[in-house]
Order: sequence, then structure tokens, then C-alpha cells
Amino acid sequence: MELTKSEEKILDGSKGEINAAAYRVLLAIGRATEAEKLVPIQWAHVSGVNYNTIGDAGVDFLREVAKGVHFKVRTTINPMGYDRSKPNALSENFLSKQMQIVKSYKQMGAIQSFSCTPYEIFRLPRKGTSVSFAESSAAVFSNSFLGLMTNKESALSALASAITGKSPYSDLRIEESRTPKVALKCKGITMNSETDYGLLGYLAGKISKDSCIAFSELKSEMDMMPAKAISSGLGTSGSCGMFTSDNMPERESIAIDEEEMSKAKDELNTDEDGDLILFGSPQLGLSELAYLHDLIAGRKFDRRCIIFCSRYVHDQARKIGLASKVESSGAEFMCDSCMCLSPLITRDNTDSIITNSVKGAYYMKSSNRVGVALKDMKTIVKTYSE
Amino acid sequence: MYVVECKCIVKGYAEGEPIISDTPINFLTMIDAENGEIKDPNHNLYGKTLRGKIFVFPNSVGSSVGAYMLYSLKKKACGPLAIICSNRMDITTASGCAISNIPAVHLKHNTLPQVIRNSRALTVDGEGEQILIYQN
Repeated sequence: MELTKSEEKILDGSKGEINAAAYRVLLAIGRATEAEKLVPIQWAHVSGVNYNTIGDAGVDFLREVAKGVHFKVRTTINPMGYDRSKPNALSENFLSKQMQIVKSYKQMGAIQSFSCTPYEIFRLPRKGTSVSFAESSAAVFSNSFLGLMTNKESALSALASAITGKSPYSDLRIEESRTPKVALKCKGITMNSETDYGLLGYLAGKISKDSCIAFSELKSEMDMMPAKAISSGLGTSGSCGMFTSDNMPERESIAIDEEEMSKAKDELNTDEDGDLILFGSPQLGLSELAYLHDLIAGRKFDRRCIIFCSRYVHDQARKIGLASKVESSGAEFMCDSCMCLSPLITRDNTDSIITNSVKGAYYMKSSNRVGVALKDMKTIVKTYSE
Repeated sequence: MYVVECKCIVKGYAEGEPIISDTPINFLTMIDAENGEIKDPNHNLYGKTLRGKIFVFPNSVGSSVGAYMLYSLKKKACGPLAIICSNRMDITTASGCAISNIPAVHLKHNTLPQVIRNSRALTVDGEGEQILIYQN
């Protein structure tokens, strides 16, 4: 990858060690993705905000980085560990480390979004704009549905792009690379719910070796709920950062069937029942809250039900009266955070959870180490409320 | 001695015993940040440590936060000496290695040669874009 003279100077330390380190990261990912050059980006979305995901080394690292730089482009950040407006029983250590992380990002100029669905909250740049999104579900969603151009960035590569305002011109930032070579044929598979879409994405992520994959036989028009589910499923299991649902016959195709779908489900669905219902991985948007409200229709949950959503969505839902209607079912909102690696759910306080999210199921099972009953939202409401 | 060509992503030089995963790695969920052990009970390297080894795997998958895992492991001195990606060098691995100064290369032909699989020790020479295998 060729750097300009001024970029070379920064790499050599003319703007200090943090900027030089940011360019070292861009150089490495540029080499990895065979980029020719760096291009400006308009928006960075950075992951690595929840203390549970980056640990003490991450806390110290961000504290040092924040001393030396200010973000060059609009930068939004992923969920943190808990809801800032609610009391919790987390340890002093967790709280102080989490606050330090938030402080570091704030110092660098990040918007305090604490959301994994920035595309539902913020003004979108026009199609074809280069961005740098680390949250895997947001990267896949933005490439596949919004025409934004991002590679499946890492927490550190998006941070480097936030600091420099640049990303390598490679892979999914180049129009020609956004045509998939391989198509997954999902003929005969019935997609009944958002959870099926999540499973299909999860399966595709395991199969795909490329950064873009096609689903043939899949409707290209999709509601928000299945769109978010398939994007987050794909982001969870693979290194693939985009999908299309066009139907080009000349491609190499791989057939998948119901059996593979149910195998993927068996892997994640470790329990038939659970103590706690969790919605919102990715965090729920207004349309999903409205759907949930329709399903509830005056019923009450027979166990604790937590809805993870961004504070923006929550506040809007509050304003239009939707939040209180949903709460009348006994469900509670949890803002600023997400179920994935949530410190609130541990093996000490929970045996197993119930969720409709494939991404949530994967992290609950493998990181939080609790059992998972994976069911779609409709079934969950029907089974666990009256 | 065998020489395998590779592409350098993060410069550096390291000698050590390889630890090989045939399946992709999710750094966030599969590795224990405290000691560098593979903590996923379904993985064939379950219980083995990356500490002081040359970690060979196809590519990383899943969480973007995995990059911080490589940094944490390095800070705790329980990370790999070098990384070889046999399918593709993904952004999570490349950025994690860049910030942690872990030499990282990927194999030019996207397949893992038998000589690496059989080797007890190898040298990653990032600068020279080659992997040297002395003993088999």
C-alpha cells in the first residue's frame, strides 16, 4: 500500500506516537486487504466499549490513546456494560473501569451513542460513502441494505480510522468487490421468523470464505427485523461483511437445506426453557418495539423480560407512548447496553435465558456461559405471557 | 530445511513451536484472556495455550473486539510469539497484531503446507516474507 508523503511523516512520528500507531494499524490492514491507498471516511463506529469485552489492558490502552488525540470524523460508539439511569449491583471495580472507558471515548470526541445500531439513529450519509464500522452487525447491515461502504472492521481498525479519518481503499470499499462469487441456495427452506433469518446468516458466515456472499431464492425486500437478524447472524459466525439477495445464475453455488439449519439451531439452543427473557441483540428499534407491543396485546409476562435498546430509541418510544404500553406487560427497558457479554447476566444469577436473537444466543452461551432457549419473538410472547 | 513463502502483514521475527487450528478463531469467545488458553470446549485445541507459541489458524471470525484480546494477551505476556493465517489475514487479526507488535504473516497460497503441519519448530521471518522449518 502506498502512503502519501504526509501520511509517511505521521507514520514516522511527526504527530506523536498515537497517530503513528494509528497509521501502523492502517498499514497492516491495508496490506492484509491488498489496498493501494488510504481514502477518507465520513463516519467511524467503534466497538470495545463494554469493560467485559476489552478488560484492564483495554482500559489502560484507551486512557493513553485519549491523552494524545481527538477524533477527526463523526465517531459513534457501541454499547457499554449497563444502563446509566438505573441502579445496579455491579462491583465497584466494574463501575469504575467502565466509567474510565466512557471518559476516554468522550475525551476523544465520541458521540455517547452506546448503540450497536447507529444506522437506526443517526443521519445516514448517501449511498457509496466510505465509513468504518467495527460492530459486525452494523457493518453487514450498512453494506447490504444502505449502500454504505465499509470492511468488517475491528475495534482497533475503526479506532485508527476515527483518529486519522482514513481507511484502506480495499475489498468492500471498492464497487467491483461487492459482487459475490458464491451464492447460497436456500431453496426449500421456509423462513418463518426473524430467528430463522438469524440462523441463515449464522450458517452463511460459517460457510463463506469471501467478504461478500449471495443468498439466492431470498426476497431482497426485507422488514427491519429479519434484516437486522440476518446481518447480525452473519457477523457473529464469519468474516463476511456483506450479502446480496440477487439471483445471478452464473455463480458458483452452495446448497443448504433444512437439516443444516436445524443443526445450527441445535448448536445454539441448549435449553428448552429459561429464567429470563432477553430481547435486543442488536438493540431493538421502534418498528420491533411496535411489533412486540402488537404481540403482547394486553398480556403479562410470567417471568422477567429485559429489552435492550439504545437510549435514543427508548426516549422516542417513551414520547409516543409505546414504551409505557410495552412496560405494562412487565417487560423492562435496559438502555446503553446490550445482552452480549452483559455483566448483569452471569452463571451465578441465571441458569438459562430465552431469546429470539441468534447473536445473543451465541454470546450468552459462549461468553456469559449460560444456557439458551432460542425461540422467535412471537413464540416467546405466546409461551411466556398470559 | 524447508522454506515456505508468505506475505508480511506485521513485521518481525519469531522462532517457536507451532500450535495449529484448522478452524477459524473467535478471539473474544474462544481464548482465556488471563492465560492465553483455548477455553472453547468444542475446539480441538481446548486447554492448550497460545503462550510462547506460533499460532497458525485460517482466519479470525466474529467479534470486532477480538483485536483487543491479542493486545491483552501481549500485555500479560501470555500471547503468541507470531501469527500465521492460512486462509486470509482478516482485519481483526492484522490490527490486533499491529498494535501489539506481534509478527503476522499469511500464506501465499491460502493452504497450510504439510511441512508446517508436521513441524515441531519454525521461524517466522516477516521481513524476508518466509517461514523456515528446520526440523520435522
